Amino acid sequence: MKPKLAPGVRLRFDKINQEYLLLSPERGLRLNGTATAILRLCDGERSIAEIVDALKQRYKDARADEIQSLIEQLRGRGLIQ
Amino acid sequence: MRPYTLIAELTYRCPLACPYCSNPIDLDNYRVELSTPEWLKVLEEAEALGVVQAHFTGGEPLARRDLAELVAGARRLGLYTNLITSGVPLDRARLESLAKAGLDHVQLSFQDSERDSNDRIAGCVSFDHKRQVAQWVKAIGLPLTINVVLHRDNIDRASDIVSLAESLGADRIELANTQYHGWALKNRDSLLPTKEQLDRARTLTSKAQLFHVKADYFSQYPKACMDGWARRFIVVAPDGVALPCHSARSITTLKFENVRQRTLQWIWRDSDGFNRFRGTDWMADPCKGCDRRETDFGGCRCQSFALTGNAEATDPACSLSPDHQLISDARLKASKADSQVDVAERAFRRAIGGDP
Repeated sequence: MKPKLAPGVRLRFDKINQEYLLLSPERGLRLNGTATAILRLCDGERSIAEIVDALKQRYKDARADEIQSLIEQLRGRGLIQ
Repeated sequence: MRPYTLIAELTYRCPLACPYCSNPIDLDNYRVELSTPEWLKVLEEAEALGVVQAHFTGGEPLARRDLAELVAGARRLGLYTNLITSGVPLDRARLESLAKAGLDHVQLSFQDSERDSNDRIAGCVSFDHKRQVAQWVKAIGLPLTINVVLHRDNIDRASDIVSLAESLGADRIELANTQYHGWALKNRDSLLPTKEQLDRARTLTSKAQLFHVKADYFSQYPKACMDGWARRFIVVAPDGVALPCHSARSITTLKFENVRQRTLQWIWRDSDGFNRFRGTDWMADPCKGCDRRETDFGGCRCQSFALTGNAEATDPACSLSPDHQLISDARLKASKADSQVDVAERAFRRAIGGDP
């Protein structure tokens, strides 16, 4: 499965707090740096394994289980499909 | 402190006449509406303050011919745009023009799962058209929320309502128990369901995302109204008056400013109306010493004012409120079938501005 943002969900950079927000109908989720890095790779073209590889190349301490769990969590909330 | 969401009430004109409408009772006083450039300025000022989402609502926002222009203006600012609509009047070409303008999401109301009942509650023939609109929304590829306000007439069909929404391909379903403001408070005795009806509806689930808006008349604690007064939301009414919530103007002891005279920034940061119930300093007992004061923010100021005449009082919906009997009496009355107010005695809003 190749995760991507669900329809009607998008990322917006917030100038005030200098962080990304995940916007969806009636709500917004503040993202930390890790979550932002993961979500920007959820483009519907990469598999979870490819996302993990890409993040490991960039961040030494990236952990597959944490990445997987964040994606599952956001999928449970209907923000990723 | 910055707002995240602008609720743009573009007009109070509406072809529907739902008995639970949250629009003001004195609709005739809102015939003068902000112009297109004035709304575009509101959107700019809101974005500069921190707003990231714009809900276009009303009345029926489609009654504004400049809707697509306003959606485009919001998208140029990067705002998430949501259309909250009855679907009447809407044709496919106009929906396509809204999608082209950058609309992110459509929230379409139904009044019931059956044609006759839907049209009776809405006060106009609309059920078949709404189904058609839902199909267009999906065909165009926009995400769709179907929302239905629940009350005594339709709550026993909540399960059918969920099935209807699923069959129309809704991504999200919102079952919103009536909030008793404006017209809904006027018609409360004929709208309030019984606890048994409510309990059946609130256990429903769906393969779509299903959200329940809680019935504060049947809860132990009040709703966290607007996530706290002037904490996350700005409402701008059709005439340009900026408010912390849809019905704040019903608190007649407060004064609210118009975006025609003041910047949204000044209104948000400095106006008395917005500062009046911010934070927790204004609270009296039992809210003042309550662990939940930063959870539910004392409940709803408009409800306190409407029911007790004192906007600073704890929301009577809270079981700890000294005025809670006002709520329990209304509940009791609803549970006794022989004392129920007849539907024929309901007050209906008159459509203003014509064109249904």
